[in-house]
Amino acid sequence: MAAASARPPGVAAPPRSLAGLDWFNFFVANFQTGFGPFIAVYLSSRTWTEAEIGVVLSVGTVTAMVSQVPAGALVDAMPNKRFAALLAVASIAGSAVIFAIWPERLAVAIAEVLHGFASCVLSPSIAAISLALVGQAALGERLGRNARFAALGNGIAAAVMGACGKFVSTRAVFVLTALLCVPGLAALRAIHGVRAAAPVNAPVRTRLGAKTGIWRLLHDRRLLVFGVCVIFFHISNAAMLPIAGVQATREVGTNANLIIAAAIVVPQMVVAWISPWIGREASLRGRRIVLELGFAALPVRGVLLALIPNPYLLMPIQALDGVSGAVFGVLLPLVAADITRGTDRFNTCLGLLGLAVGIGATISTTLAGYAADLLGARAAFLVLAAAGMVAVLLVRFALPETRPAEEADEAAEAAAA
Amino acid sequence: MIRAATTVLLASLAPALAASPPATAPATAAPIATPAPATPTPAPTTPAVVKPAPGKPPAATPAAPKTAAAKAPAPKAPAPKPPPPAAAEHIHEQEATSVLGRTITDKKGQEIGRIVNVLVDQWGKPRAAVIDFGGFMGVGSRRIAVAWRALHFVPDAKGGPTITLEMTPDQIKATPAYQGATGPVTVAAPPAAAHPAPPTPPVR
Repeated sequence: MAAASARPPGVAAPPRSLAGLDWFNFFVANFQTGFGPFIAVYLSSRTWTEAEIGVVLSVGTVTAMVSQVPAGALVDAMPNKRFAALLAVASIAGSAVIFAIWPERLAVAIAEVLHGFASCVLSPSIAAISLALVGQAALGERLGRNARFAALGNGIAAAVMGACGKFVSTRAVFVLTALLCVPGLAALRAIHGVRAAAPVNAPVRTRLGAKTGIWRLLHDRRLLVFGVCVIFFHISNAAMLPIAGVQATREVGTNANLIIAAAIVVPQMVVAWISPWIGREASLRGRRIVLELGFAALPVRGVLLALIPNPYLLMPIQALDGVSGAVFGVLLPLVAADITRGTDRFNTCLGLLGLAVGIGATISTTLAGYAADLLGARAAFLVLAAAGMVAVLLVRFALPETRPAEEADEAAEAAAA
Repeated sequence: MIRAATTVLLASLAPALAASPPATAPATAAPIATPAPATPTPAPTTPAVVKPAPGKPPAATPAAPKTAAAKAPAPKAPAPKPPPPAAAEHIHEQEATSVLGRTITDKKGQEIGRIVNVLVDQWGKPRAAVIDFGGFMGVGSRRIAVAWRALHFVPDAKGGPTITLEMTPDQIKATPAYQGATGPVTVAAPPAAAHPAPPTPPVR
């Protein structure tokens, strides 16, 4: 608590640094999501077999899961978060280069490992830089802004890369990704004051921090409940768009790729639109109510997808994805910061929650796959919607409010005035 | 995601094979080792209607797949050769090519998908191609198996065949997704009327 109030209230971070953080989020947004399913497209165009592609993708998935917590702990341990971000971006660009110029088995496996670990470092380091720049009190709003720029970057990158893959070559997508690290690193250079602020936030309680290791964190009820919420959120969320996409392809044929592209880009635009507002509301009204309403968009989307099989209505339904995505993107680091206040375990906590995301997404794909095979896509959507409903109920009945008392007081004062 | 299905690098694209001269080859030919009967490849019996060939092609071909050289463990007809010395066969530059990763076009010439696997029967004869359709950046793509004879190979100027799928969008739509070759596979076949060739109905 001392940590948060230690930043003099009048002293804001230099605007240049904040703008740097904006654009850093913008350029590296698609680094975090990775090349994902596109790798399968690329490698199969390089005459890789299904089995080989499956192995390599598993290597990437397993790496990303296993390295979440260690990567978070590493970022916690590194005094210079900006340097952590720099290393992560350079590694991801390196892995993109490997994909582009050397698509052989060993090289691609190495690239997947590199990418998996680096992306686990990148997200927490961005959150850590944000916290160090603006302090705890202004974090909600800052995370909203991060999410806005990341969503803009993601949406634009998805559109440009899709066009690039279609009209240039699948390889060009990786070249483009690697090139994005240049403006990304330039934006990172503009961020100053992270190191100066870091001691204020992080190692104030180093001795306590040492004692309150990861085990202490794991005994925090708020984190456990929120972790379970995150798992159910992703059980519900992860497979929804892919299944809807397959349905659209089935109905419309090859032209469905435009529908699917829109279904990816539209939610990003919604996220860009509403994220800052969500960050503010989370400060004003508390985390729980925002989480509850945002998560509620998930079961609604699942039910709508089950009821409305028309692929042309996929795009408007996907706007709901933007609502839940924005809430998730802003509130996950915010709640983690609440939970780890006054300790130096913020990034470890983010790592644990990242692991929860990975677990949820894995279960989602498997579960929805089985449901779709056995009972059809409609049933799969309903199963996913049910998981989303569980997440909403958990937030409503089990999750304690994590907003710090002072922040609530400030909000109350602001409301009164 | 690791499928049991395995690679089949095609020896013979139908037209190329038909026209292929025996073994005498000029300098542009790609030499391939043919260790004829050393390792026969009977399929491990799975209840699949269409079975994938097991294992990798036996011939060690370190040559990069990007060249026109085809890796071809041709299950050529009888003619058992003496085991030890591998006979060198030659495939001309445009005579054969790998089909994995090749794009497929519809009748109008529009690109609709990509071959990601080939299913062969117990005798190594191609039965079906697994084709990846649609999607955006890999999201929402759909796989179906189509009968091999639904694919038409026409040599093009660039040295590879243009592969055309003789099916309408509705026929493609009606075909259930390919789930891997470990169970029965539904294969979309061209309508019998339009195609008098072999009158096998779609296997269920």
